Amino acid sequence: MASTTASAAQQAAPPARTTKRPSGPFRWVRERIIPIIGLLVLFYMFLPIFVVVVFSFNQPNGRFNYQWVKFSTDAWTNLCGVGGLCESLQLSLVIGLVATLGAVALGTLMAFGIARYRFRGRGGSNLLVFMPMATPEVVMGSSLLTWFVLLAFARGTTTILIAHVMFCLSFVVVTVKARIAGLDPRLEQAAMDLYANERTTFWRVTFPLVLPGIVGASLLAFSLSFDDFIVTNFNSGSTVTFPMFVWGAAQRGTPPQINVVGSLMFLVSLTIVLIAQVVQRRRKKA
Amino acid sequence: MTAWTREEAVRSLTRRRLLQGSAAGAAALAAAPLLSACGGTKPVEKTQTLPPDKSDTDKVVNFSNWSLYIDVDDKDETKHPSIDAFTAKTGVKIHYTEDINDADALNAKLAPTFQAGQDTGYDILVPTEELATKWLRTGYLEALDKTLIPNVTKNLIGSLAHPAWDQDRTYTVPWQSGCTGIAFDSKKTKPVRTITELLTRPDLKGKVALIRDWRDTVPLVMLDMGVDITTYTDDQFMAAIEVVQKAVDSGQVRSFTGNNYTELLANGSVDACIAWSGDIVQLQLDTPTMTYAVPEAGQLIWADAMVIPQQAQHRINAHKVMDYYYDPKVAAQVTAYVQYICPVKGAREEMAKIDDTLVDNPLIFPDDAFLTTTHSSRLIDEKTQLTYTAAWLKVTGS
Repeated sequence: MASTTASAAQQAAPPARTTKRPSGPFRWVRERIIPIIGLLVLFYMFLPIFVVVVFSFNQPNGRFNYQWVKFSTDAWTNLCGVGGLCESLQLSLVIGLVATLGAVALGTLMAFGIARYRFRGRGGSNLLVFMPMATPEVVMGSSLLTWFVLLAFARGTTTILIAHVMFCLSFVVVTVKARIAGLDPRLEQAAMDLYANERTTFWRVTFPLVLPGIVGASLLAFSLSFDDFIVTNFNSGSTVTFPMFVWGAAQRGTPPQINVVGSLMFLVSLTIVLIAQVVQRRRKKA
Repeated sequence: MTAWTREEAVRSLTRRRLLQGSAAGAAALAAAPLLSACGGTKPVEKTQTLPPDKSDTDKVVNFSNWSLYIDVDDKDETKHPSIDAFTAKTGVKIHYTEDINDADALNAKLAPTFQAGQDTGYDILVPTEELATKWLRTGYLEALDKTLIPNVTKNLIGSLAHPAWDQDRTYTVPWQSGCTGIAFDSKKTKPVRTITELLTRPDLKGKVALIRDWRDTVPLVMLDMGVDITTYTDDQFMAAIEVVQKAVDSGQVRSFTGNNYTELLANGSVDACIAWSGDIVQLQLDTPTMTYAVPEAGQLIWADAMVIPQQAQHRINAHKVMDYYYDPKVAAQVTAYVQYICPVKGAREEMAKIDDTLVDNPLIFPDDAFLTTTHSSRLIDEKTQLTYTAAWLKVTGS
């Protein structure tokens, strides 16, 4: 279909060109205006990240990392050189993983429940699932804290996990539910027609089709958990996650190691996106 | 990035669904304030008895502080030599956590626990002056036993010994302190000697930053107007605000900032600003022409202070820690790293023995001449505070 419209456009183009044909550099610019604007926008968007990366190679004399002093790979080779940074980073990664697992496990089941079955309170649950997304984080964090204090529940890693699973859950349910809703029911019917029982149908047909939704939800949940500050700060007790460490450190100065972690996160996500692109292209060819 | 995504997601997905409003949703929304009210507004019972002190049996103390606010080992930054030495000396282990990152956030986090009359799990906290005042007023702090902290009585510098909000330091012991004055880059601008110059000199037009918290900016302006800030009146406060308003209207002031003024000053977005001494010490290391100037009418001095929160379990150990950090030798060790103003007498002499590069910097070890220029404001009640804040917000435009 795409090719037919393209060829139609080509056929329509020549007469217009013969009447009005810009020449010289204008034509060059005109033909490439969209990629040029695109590149400029990309440049604008990536500029801050670029600065972060460049300053991760700085070696400031004082505690602030604002001025270029001299090139050094110290921050990269000595990532844990700042007291508390690595501990908090490790904690954030662990919390991110566990919260993602919890939220994805619960959320996927909920998504199936809400999407596939009619039951009493379905509308209500559907609405309640959206609540954590619609509630301002400050309200959510402080009410959770009030609740924990009321129960005299000690604040720490456990309460952070509970909070993170709670707000990640909504995003998982929404993402997975959308995927389930988009499934063609005839595929499952066809599987059943071909004598697959419910279990086989689920694992061989339904699950693989929903999987991209689950993977997407996991990535979303992880990044939400990893960089959450407000809700975490309320419910963390004396534990310090990475975003809390960065904010705290910023009161006295910002060690270049923080830029290193930022750059690493960018590189890791970029790599994941690139791998996904390559895999997708290969699949299309196959 | 994700915060944005989240907001967008909420906007596009849920608003409509929420507004359709099923009965269950409405009920849940109505229940929300009830839920939060349960833990919230219960008044403090001042008669609450203190729990037995566990200091002898449980040899620990839970010490919560700001990040990067204590000495570290040069080779291994996760180690704090002064803490290790304390444990070796007394047998008491310090559970040191760097989990304070923002005064308001700290207050928000601890308020429900305080209101419920529960133990916060901390034995020492280091709030800012403003927060310490608030807690002190509400009765969230335990009074200190002065007989257990002789070093503090002996070595605390005079400028910090009698602040209006805790006149005899009955509840608070300064950890590190700093001054609020003027900063500029002497390579880019002539010396700025007074607040009047900062607010009116034509060559600084549009290149001035002021601190967003009125507790820093307005008292400096009042000092400049010749007001005694230990006794100022409402009219004098409003007159000072008026002066700032004029500077804003004339385009002199570029912005009101928090901590981030350091960045503006370093990258040249502002030429002069109101600044905290400790930050300028750090900026000087990268830009030697960066200057901290004591305004001719005087500067402000403040201190983040150690306090023992209500119901703390290891109060005696907490006193031991406070006393320990007022040993001039230990104080010098901490200040050598933090490089804020050291509130301990005699630390300068001890510092000279370790490393004499810092001793001549009055922004780290203040001499008497420097300290006579320092002032601190009178205490105001909470109602006045709200009035002042409201008037100030109109000036800052936030």
